[in-house]
Amino acid sequence: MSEVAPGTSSEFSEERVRAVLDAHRSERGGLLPVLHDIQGELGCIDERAVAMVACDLNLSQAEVFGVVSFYPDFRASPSGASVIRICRAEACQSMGAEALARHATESLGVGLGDTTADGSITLEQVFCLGNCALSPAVMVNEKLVGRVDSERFDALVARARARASGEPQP
Amino acid sequence: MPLVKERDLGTRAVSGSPSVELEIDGMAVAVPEGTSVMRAAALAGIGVPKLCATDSLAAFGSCRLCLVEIEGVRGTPASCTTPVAPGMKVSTQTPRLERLRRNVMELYISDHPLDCLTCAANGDCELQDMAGAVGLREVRYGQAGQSHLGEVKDTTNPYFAFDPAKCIVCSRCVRACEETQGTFALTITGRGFGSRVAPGPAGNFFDSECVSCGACVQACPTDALEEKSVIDMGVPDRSVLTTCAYCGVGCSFRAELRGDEVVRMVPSKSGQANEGHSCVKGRFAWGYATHRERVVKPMIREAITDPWREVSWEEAIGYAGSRLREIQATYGVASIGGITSSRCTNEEVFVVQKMVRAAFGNNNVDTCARVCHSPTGFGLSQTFGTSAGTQDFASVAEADVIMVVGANPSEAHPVFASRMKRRLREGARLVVVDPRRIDLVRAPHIEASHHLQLQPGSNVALINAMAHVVVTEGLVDRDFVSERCEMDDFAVWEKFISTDINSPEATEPITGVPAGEVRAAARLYAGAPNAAIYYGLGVTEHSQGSTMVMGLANLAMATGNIGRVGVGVNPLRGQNNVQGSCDMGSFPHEFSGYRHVSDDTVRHVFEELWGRTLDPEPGLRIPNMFDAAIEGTFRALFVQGEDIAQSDPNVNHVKAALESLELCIVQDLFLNETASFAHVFLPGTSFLEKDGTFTNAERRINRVRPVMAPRNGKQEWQVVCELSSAMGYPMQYDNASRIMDEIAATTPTFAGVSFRKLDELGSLQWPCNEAAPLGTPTMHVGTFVRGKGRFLETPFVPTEERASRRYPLILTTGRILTQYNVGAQTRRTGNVAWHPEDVLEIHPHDAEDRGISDGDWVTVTSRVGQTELRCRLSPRVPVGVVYTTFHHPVSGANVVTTEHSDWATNCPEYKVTAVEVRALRAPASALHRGA
Amino acid sequence: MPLRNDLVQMANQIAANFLHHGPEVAASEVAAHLKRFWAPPMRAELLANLDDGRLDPIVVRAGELLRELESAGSNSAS
Ligand code: SF4
Ligand code: SF4
Ligand code: SF4
Ligand code: FES
Ligand code: FES
Repeated sequence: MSEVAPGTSSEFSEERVRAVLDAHRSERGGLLPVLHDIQGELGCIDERAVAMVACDLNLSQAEVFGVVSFYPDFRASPSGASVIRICRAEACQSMGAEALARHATESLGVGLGDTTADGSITLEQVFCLGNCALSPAVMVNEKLVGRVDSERFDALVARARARASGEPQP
Repeated sequence: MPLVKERDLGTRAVSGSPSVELEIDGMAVAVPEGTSVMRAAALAGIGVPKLCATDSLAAFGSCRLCLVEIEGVRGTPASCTTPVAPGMKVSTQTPRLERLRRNVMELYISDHPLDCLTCAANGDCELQDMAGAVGLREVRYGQAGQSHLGEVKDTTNPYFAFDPAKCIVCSRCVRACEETQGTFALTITGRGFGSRVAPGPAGNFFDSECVSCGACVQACPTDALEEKSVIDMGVPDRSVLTTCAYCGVGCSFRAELRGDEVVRMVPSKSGQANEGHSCVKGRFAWGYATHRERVVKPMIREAITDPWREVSWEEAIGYAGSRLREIQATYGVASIGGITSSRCTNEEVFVVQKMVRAAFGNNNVDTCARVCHSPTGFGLSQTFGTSAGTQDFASVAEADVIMVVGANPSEAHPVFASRMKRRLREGARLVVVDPRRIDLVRAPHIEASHHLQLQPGSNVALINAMAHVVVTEGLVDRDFVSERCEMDDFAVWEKFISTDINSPEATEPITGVPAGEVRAAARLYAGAPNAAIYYGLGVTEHSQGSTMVMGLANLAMATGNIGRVGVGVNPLRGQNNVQGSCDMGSFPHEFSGYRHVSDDTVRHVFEELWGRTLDPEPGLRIPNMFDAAIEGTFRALFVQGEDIAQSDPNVNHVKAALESLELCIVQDLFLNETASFAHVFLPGTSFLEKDGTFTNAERRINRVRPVMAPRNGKQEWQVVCELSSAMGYPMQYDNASRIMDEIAATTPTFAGVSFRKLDELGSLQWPCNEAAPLGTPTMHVGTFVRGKGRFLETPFVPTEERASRRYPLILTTGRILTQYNVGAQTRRTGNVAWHPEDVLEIHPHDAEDRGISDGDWVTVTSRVGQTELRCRLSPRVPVGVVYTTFHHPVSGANVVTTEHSDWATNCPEYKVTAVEVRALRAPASALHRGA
Repeated sequence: MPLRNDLVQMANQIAANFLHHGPEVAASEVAAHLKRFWAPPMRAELLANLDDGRLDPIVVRAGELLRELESAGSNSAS
């Protein structure tokens, strides 16, 4: 699967979506492979891509959107430079994940699933990162971090922001 | 009537004989094979608790509330997804089931607001009912944890709101949008606890693919999807069963009221035309009935330049009556006439034509159906013997190939379109014949096998080419033809149609449709076990409209596609009572039941009953009336509920005609365009006040019941009777059902119809008489109405309206879902949110040639007039064709349409007008407004 | 007064749509059509102006047939 690394510039391009659709033309009916390739090409499957895919495969936009939203691999909007995922499954919940999530949304001023206005961070929730022993767990891009409290979270954010603006990392 | 709630049996009905016997809670039940345990229980009077099941949708099995125990079966299966089996023993109430159900309910309620008492759905909520039914007393999970309670309401749709906090994610709405409506506008996003209902990527209902049919609102068990009117006014306390007054589908609705105020219109599952479905117009756009611009007092004036003067009914009627008589005394008996409306009831139309024939003493009565479906009358009666669609709507469910010609059901007949789409999703093939790429050509899960995108005006050439293929490739159903049709006529036709000029190759330059496509479509149609034709105004509103109708009939007969379920030739009628107004004898040459005025036997029936000698000669048609008015021989006109000054072609000509009248009497709800030429205004009644019947496109007679008292104080038929009496011909009926009795007594095809029978059976499809006491769903079974089917030659005679150097584009007109006809009603409702103005669709190439960009204002000029419209670049129209609707008076699309008309019936050629389109910086009307 | 434009146009259009029968049959079909669908004043106006140069020869012939029909006083339509 060709997941674009977070931070890759992702601009909607009608030609690139069209190219993906054309490449899949012979298969007939495969929505998932098409979505995977668009996600890989563009880093997200936004409303315009959804409309093109729907039209091409004779589906409604809602159906395509439903599938995009079902699989965590697909994104409906481009992600920020860094993606921070907070685990909210049982083990982490019992160790304060809810408070952490609240702190995260409040301090960043965005909801779960949204990206900060400066484009530096996308905040997401996941249900179990397989790191239950070190709850509450967080994943920053591809890196797993355990026992995250508010301070630790703020530090992770600061580092991610610094990287986004090209400053040397603390 | 008290508030009636229709029963919900949980899962869909299965057809078949009740052959499976089982026992539920000790009661013996027999149901057809394939029925769910839930439905079987409901039929036995046992309600199994349920949330995700409803009998309009396929069972889903997600809520786990409907668990039952079955002897010999492990666990507790869901009764909605478990089919019955012979000898089954089912228990629906056991301590174990009760505990399980309570647990399920508890989970639902823990994530649901506990404000039932202030909720708009209080008393009309299945979640509330079920909590009671399972005996929920406590909720162990606090509401402090994760929940969806804080989510914001979506109020973007003008008519209903979505409150996600109250959503239990049963997905009934999503399924209703798919299965019932066929739009697929909703989805469940995310998964697990994160799953939510969403109207697609747009994020709100208004900007989504939603067409506001209301099916999801209807299916929703809670307040999550709720009519705004219920939120504002509270739940209704009584209901009246009636019929939508918007289109020829004729959907049945329960008008639900609080006191005298309509709270909502709910589609009725018992309605045979709609089976519980609706569209945005009937479901939501009824607010015009009480709009403040409605005129409820009679008014008169000497001259159309004078201001209106409110007068009493007596004065208005007395004035109108004596003026009509004076004019006849001066200019002759034939100098006056009347126009009936397809929006009015059969009873209202019948009395108007009676007034014209008996009181006016001439046959100058015509109906607005003249401008839409008169060629259907001519074409189908010449070939089959009667002027009506051959099938009921349900028939489409058995069609294997569906050919849609010059119709746009998704916009104009939405509830029928949903039926058709369901059949197409099941695998029926589709051929679309239309210059424009209509929705059906390609929509979610629907794709036409062939779109024959012909040049406007070349219908006959195309249908001849299809018939040519059928005949020359040996696809004729010889057995059918020899058994059912006149062989001499067939032989003449066969020879005519086989000539080379009718081949797809020869007609390709005329139609613009590749010969190969035509051949393939013809083979598909001819080769299907069941092939059905549905057509609309794109067939009739042409100078060859009648010929085209005959061409369709020929094709159906040649391939044996007539006289059984799943086939047929079906006009989709525009207005609600086009069929009825035609049936009721409002053509100048025909009495009710399509019998010529020159037929002595028929005339004597009426003369006997009405006590007057009737004119055996045809009267004037609408366009003839206008021409005669301008000439000076036609002096007075009675217009029932019809805005001819906006809806008829070449509006300037019509206005000139109206202006030259000495007396124009308008009976309508609003002071419309025509009323500006009127001397007498008689306020009419909205469908919510009418008492009578409408006949839909499948010949189905439906009852229209008064939901409230007439706001003008009188039924329209009473006013007509009083006018007639004022003219010295007394007409009097105790009530509307007496008028139907007179119709039945004089019209053989209606002989068995009465209000009593309609109230008993719900509806009846004519012919309904001794031979068919329960009506006739399918016509021409075994034999045609005229005996043998008659093939007629259909030479292609091109219209004189042709594109030229000066007018290089062809303008064609159509309709849009949210608006209705001239828009007098829909423009006075929330529907304007979707269609605030008429726009001109133009192909990007044609636009580029003229330096026009999307959203520009343009002038559209034809030989007869000019108008201004905003334009939209759209590849839905082919190069060389532009398209618009005519729902708003300011856009005056009919200013440019010409007086060309069908050769046989004078039905105007709305669908072909040569025009030129030019960019305009700002509309002159806007400049005027600014000045 | 010359014949009204709309009548000329309508009559010629009807004739054009029966032309395929050949002139003689076409003329009698046109006559029957006029008798069945046209109001008497319109027919009268047409008959009074059969020499209007704009009329299709089939219409002129139909007019003559129609005149015979009318004078025969038959009301029954075809
Ligand atoms: S109103 Fe109709 S079209 Fe809109 S979402 Fe509901 S079911 Fe679908
Ligand atoms: S909106 Fe209503 S119908 Fe749709 S999922 Fe929620 S509760 Fe069910
Ligand atoms: S407008 Fe037509 S389709 Fe819509 S509800 Fe009324 S009758 Fe039904
Ligand atoms: S529950 Fe959070 S990592 Fe497993
Ligand atoms: S009603 Fe059967 S599972 Fe919901």
